[in-house]
Amino acid sequence: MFIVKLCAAALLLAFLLPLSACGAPAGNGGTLESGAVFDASLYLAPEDYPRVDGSTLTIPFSEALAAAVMRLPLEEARLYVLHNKTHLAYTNLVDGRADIIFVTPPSAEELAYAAEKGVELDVIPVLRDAFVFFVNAKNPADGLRLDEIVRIYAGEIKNWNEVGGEDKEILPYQRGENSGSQTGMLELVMKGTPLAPAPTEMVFGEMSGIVDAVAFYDNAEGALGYSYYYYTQNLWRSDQIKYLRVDGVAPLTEHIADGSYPILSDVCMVLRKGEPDGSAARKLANFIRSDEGKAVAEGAGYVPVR
Amino acid sequence: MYPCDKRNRRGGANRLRVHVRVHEPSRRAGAALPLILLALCLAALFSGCAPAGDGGGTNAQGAQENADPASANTAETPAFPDYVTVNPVAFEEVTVEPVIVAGLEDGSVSSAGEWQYKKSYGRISGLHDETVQQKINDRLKEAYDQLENAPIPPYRGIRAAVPASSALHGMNIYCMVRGNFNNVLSVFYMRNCNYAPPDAGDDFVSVTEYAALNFDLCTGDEISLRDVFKPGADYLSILDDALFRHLLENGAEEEWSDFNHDSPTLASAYEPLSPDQKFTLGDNGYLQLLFGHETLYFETPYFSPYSFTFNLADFGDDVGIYTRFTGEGREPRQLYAAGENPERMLLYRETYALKASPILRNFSKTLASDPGAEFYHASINARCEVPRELEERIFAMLQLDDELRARLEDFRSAHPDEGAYASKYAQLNRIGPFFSLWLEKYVDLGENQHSAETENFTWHADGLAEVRLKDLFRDGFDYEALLREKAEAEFGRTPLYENGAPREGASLEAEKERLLRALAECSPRMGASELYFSTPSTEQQSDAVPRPLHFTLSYKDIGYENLTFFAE
Repeated sequence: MFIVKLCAAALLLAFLLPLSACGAPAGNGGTLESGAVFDASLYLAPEDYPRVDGSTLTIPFSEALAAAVMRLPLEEARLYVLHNKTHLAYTNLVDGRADIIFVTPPSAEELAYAAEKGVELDVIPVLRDAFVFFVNAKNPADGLRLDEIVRIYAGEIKNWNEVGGEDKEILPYQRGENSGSQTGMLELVMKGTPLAPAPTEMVFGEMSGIVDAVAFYDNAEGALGYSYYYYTQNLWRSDQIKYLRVDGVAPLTEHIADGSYPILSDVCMVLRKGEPDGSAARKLANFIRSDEGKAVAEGAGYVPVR
Repeated sequence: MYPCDKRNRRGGANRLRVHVRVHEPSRRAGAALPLILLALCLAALFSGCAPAGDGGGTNAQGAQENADPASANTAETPAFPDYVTVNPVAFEEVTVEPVIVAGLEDGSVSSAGEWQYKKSYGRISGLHDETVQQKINDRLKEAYDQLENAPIPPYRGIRAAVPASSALHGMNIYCMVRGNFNNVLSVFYMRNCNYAPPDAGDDFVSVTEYAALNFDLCTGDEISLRDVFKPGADYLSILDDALFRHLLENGAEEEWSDFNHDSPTLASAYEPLSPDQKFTLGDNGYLQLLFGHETLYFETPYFSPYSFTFNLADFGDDVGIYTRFTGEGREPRQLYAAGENPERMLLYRETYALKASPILRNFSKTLASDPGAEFYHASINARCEVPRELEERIFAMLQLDDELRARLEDFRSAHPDEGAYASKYAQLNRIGPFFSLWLEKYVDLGENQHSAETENFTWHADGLAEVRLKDLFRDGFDYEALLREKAEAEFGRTPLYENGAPREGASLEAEKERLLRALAECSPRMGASELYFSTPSTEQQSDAVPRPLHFTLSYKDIGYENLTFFAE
């Protein structure tokens, strides 16, 4: 995990050093060392900072943004950033308890809630993520076509030798029903094709004793799993798994940035359309879309929308 | 991700065995960088009361903490023990200031019309060495004072929820003992504050933090996480691996649509544990790691720490806490005022690290004529590795036998409008040198025709021979007399005596004899401090559901010297 940090630091340094060489740029997107402060061209004091909310995935982005704009060390700025997960962030925005949120695009339910309250949403993509598939590192499979993935998870393809691999049963693991990855699988990949039943295991339910639950990806030799690129790259990594190319394209940062990877997902900032120009939330939104804002996103490990 | 403050505090330690896979050629070289960390551990020498093991001292501050000397003598250290000795010290919770605060406004008050807050700290007694005792009590009070005066803890987002102008409505500080065994005392403090943010109406924001203190009762020094493990054990890697696996199994890296305290979410990349990690030790073999605002990689939506509980048996021979502070010069009679024949407790060897148990099963049967009608259900619950042979025995016990099937089918045929249902539920524990099973059977054949029975089974973990009651006692010990005495007392607390004949056609005395005979031949269930007995079912009233009677015999009452599994 330290290597993850080193890589992140190296990426940030790679961004920061050229700017520094040009002589104290206005804004650089984050903090490098504990306690360090990098000023952004936009300054908002903590008491003026808009009420932000958002998904779990965007917490590091939101904190880096707050640090840059409040000109505070990251560890101090993060005290002012409270994310309540995607759905609650939407309701907070609609109900006026948040001014700007960082989330996946709104669901039909969330759009309906906004309409019911008479609120129009300003949805602006700012970050790009990829939906990735992985297998045991020893699995000779290198990639799958998107249509093959759909057929595997629909239960039509059951053996790796049907997709050019060795004679081994495919174990297509899924995620829990209320997880972000499972929502992504349904919306970005299956797109209406029903999922076959997931492998299950007996677990201790939190409130209900022994229950069937979607089995955890166990990296067995035939296993196939999925997640979001950001999660796998920034929150956990393993040399025991191998990412699959999809339609011949590997899930690499450059392929996500240039849009060539076929399963992409946007992360948006969302404001109320009625949010006035000149408000702190609008100022922050404009900053996020600037080169400085994109640098903040990159420094925090995200791929900004160009 | 940023290289954050925690990395700096921890001196760049990287003990997590989660490797980086870099699929881009340009990054591969970076990933291959070796990470070799070596820190020096200064062995503190104890005068006259040195802990067993490496001679290494305690290090609550975690300052010079890291690798243990390579001279660790693990080969001579006993295997994971079957039981612990309870320290005969008394722990008193000293209430400082019970505070009663009126509600902020109408509607915000409790049902009693007021909010009550309580603060207390811990104090021990019973040590021979009053200097050591005072040292511990001073530290317990100091920890309380630190908590009482601590500023609002810097959780993620705390200033968004609790602005600086928020009023403190009240504070609770609780103190409790988590573990008290083998000359180790583990104490847990919890501070909970209610804040009233401006413009929040009657709503409070609750903010919680924990403190943990673990003492060597011989010296009064605090012990660190390193001391829980044997010298030379790579304890941080061991714990990191276990914790990280737990997180992955619970999908901690992604957002779930509901908050779940048992399955925390990573808000940023997991970071390796540090030597000064907060922890408590439980009497029954549990190690609990506490994660507060210092560990910012967890999302803490309720401004409350997370805890993860492991059974030390998960870490097998790497565990050193049970022998590290015992030995010559540290016998109970030397350390404690009431040090003769202290109590003992069997240790559980179960795991809470894994979400899924290796032997969780549900069995169900449906009627051939009505597949939608499930009429039999059985399940087994265990948090321990179970040998295949034992697993098969238990599964066989859970099957629906032909006689019961026939009863259910016949009843269903004769009463198609009534339910016929049976179930078995089994709980298996790995405790001390045993596997011990509790099996409950329930049959429901309509109104006034349901019954419940409980059976206990115990097997030696080594060899899986079934343990009969007599096997637990040393030769010559009259356990039947003790059992009869206890059973008689238990019968006296049941309606058996009050309501006449317990079973149709049977006298009370005959019924008691029937139950006692069954008890004497039974296989009891093992608890940490007692044996559990269940009698065959008996009707306590003529129209009642037949149920077993339950009672226990404590090891202390039996006498440890009379029990075979408390070998010296």
